[in-house]
Amino acid sequence: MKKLRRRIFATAGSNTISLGTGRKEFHPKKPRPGLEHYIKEAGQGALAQINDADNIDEGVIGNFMAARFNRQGNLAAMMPMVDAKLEYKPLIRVEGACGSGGLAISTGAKSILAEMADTVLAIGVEVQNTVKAVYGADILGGAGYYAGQRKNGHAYFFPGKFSDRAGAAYEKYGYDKVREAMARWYERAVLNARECPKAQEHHNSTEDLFAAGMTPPNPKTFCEHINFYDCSKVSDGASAVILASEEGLD
Amino acid sequence: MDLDARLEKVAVLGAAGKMGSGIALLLAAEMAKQKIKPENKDRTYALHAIDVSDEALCGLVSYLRPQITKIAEKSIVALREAYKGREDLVENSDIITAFVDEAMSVVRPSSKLESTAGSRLIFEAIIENKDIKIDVLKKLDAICPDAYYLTNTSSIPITVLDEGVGLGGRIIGYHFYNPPAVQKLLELISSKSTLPEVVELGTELAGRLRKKVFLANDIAGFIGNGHFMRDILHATGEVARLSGELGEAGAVYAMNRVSQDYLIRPMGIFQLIDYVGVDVCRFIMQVMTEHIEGETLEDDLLDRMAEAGVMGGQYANGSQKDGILKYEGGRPAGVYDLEKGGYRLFADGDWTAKSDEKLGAMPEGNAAWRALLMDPKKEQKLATYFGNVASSDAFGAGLARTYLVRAKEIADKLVSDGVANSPEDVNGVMTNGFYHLYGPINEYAGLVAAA
Ligand SMILES: NC(=O)c1ccc[n+]([C@@H]2O[C@H](COP(=O)([O-])OP(=O)(O)OC[C@H]3O[C@@H](n4cnc5c(N)ncnc54)[C@H](O)[C@@H]3O)[C@@H](O)[C@H]2O)c1
Repeated sequence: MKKLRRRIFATAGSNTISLGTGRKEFHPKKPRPGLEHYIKEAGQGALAQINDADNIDEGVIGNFMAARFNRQGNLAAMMPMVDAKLEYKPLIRVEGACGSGGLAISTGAKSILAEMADTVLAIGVEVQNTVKAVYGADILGGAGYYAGQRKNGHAYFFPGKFSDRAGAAYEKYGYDKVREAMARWYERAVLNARECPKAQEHHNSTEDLFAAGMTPPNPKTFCEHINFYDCSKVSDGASAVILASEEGLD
Repeated sequence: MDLDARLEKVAVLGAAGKMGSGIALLLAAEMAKQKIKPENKDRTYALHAIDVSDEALCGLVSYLRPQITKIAEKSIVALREAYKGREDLVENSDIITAFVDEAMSVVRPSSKLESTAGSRLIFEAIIENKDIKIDVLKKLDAICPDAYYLTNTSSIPITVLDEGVGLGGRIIGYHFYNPPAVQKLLELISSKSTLPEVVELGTELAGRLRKKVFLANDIAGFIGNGHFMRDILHATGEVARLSGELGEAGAVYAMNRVSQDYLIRPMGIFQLIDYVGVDVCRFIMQVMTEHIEGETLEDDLLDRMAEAGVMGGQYANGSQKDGILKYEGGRPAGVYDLEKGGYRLFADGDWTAKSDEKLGAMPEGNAAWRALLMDPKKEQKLATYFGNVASSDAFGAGLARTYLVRAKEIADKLVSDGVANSPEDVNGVMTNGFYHLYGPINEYAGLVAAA
């Protein structure tokens, strides 16, 4: 199929902050909001932009590994916490590692294309600061091939994979050039975050970001070819969007 | 016998105490790292954790497990490598649990000295009392004839212990700082008779425990306490001088501020006395007086505080007990007023304001210790600030100047008396063990002395 047979619109987007180290609100030893809080905040933020939650035909929620990070399965059943009017509507949870939020959107789109729904509330949520990074790495490693690769993988499994790629890039283009490029990349990311009040790095006030990005990798404590700045931090947060057909948009 | 062989059978005396428990932790982790090496699979490892208090030994076990877990978490990259051959251990959590179990299985808590029989390395961290230490070590020497002894004594000359027990040089001062698992500094004290192989082994082990070693010579108090105790005497001398005008509590408050805020140290001198314990400080002074000819270290203020039952020290969970200062949420909130027989809170009345007024304006460029700690321009900022301390006519700046000059004199004397081999060693101990931003032997002292 080359072309969608119906037009699909995305509207009423809503994001929570990305909470984690670096945000002023974050304190590792103090209690933090959980899944319920983020699902509600993002979902209600989207619904507030339309007249009535009763106008929603379906809900999809994307998440990776809440069963381990939060000891919570069956996340779709949490969607009516956003609005009681979602009760008894078709609700489904999807998972595909880092692509879980994207899957929520494409699953919603499928319902619309299949003419099963005119409006779908799609939410993505993660609360991963519940465990220390060393154990979080185990859980995130579940996105890889556990039986075949975990045992021989790096303690920080995915950073380990990216480290291998960085190592290959050093070989091909030279260490200095690649290191500088990655440091610049980090600098850009934080500069962008400073423009966005909800971004995790919004409060980052490091003067010389590029110098931080140039920190030489330390294989004793982390990976062989990348440093902490090359990696995104662990975050808690959620986003929601309403998908609609033309009829749904009305 | 090399270090690896000695590490198979180890004992820690006073293992349930503040220092002993930390030393036991470091050793349990190191021994477990040895134990999991494939080439060591036929060796048996035992860490005898000895203490007179059975009850405290229960506490030791519950302290060790979470602490070893933290060590394992931090060492995960190396541990994954070490456990490569164990197919059953896949996730980080599997590996961490296995390592913690391994380390805990090494630890043998006991209140029976005899269970240490055959130990090859003995760490001594019992009560700071020469006669008791000698008595216990004698009993041990009868059942551990090849052992090397590493004593954590804060003040007793190593020669005194060596000769008192008859160890023939199998003993070295191995002075960890509190808490041993966190503090990087290790003062290594060899006496004239300490065998070279003991020094060598002690140094090698310190490297494995990732400690920064500074050598001190065998003169009571060594470098760290040698400086600290005399620093206390300077501060209490100033308190006596200022008491007439500010009242004793007001003077204590002022000198605590001078030593912390004006000198940019991590804590004021009276908070540090409380951290170590009033009695411990008095005791160290007493031992130093006993062994150092021609110098009497005595402190009237500390004696009167102790008499009034003001002790300081820490609770089992590491939080600060009230001492010369009162603490709220870990921060100083009052001073013990001996006249009144109770604490005077900073918040009550205007007595602290009176002291602050006397100290006068803070010289320009002052910053908090924490703010400068990681500052790459730290040296430059300190030089500018102390330049202003030198030229300020405020009373507080004057107190800071005499303090700096005295701290340098004390340090210089540690070198000229042969306690330290070099100014760098004194500075190293004070910056690494006491977290000062700058060592006592510095250019600022010259700057302010000229003023
Ligand atoms: N606390 C510090 O800041 C510090 C720093 C460096 C060195 N030190 C030195 O370390 C040693 C221990 O000090 P601490 O602060 O840990 O004291 P502590 O009182 O916390 O611990 C001493 C332990 O030794 C046990 N003990 C006493 N007599 C014993 C005996 N005969 N046999 C076995 N165990 C016995 C006690 O039950 C206690 O658990 C002292 O020599 C002290 O000078 C202390």
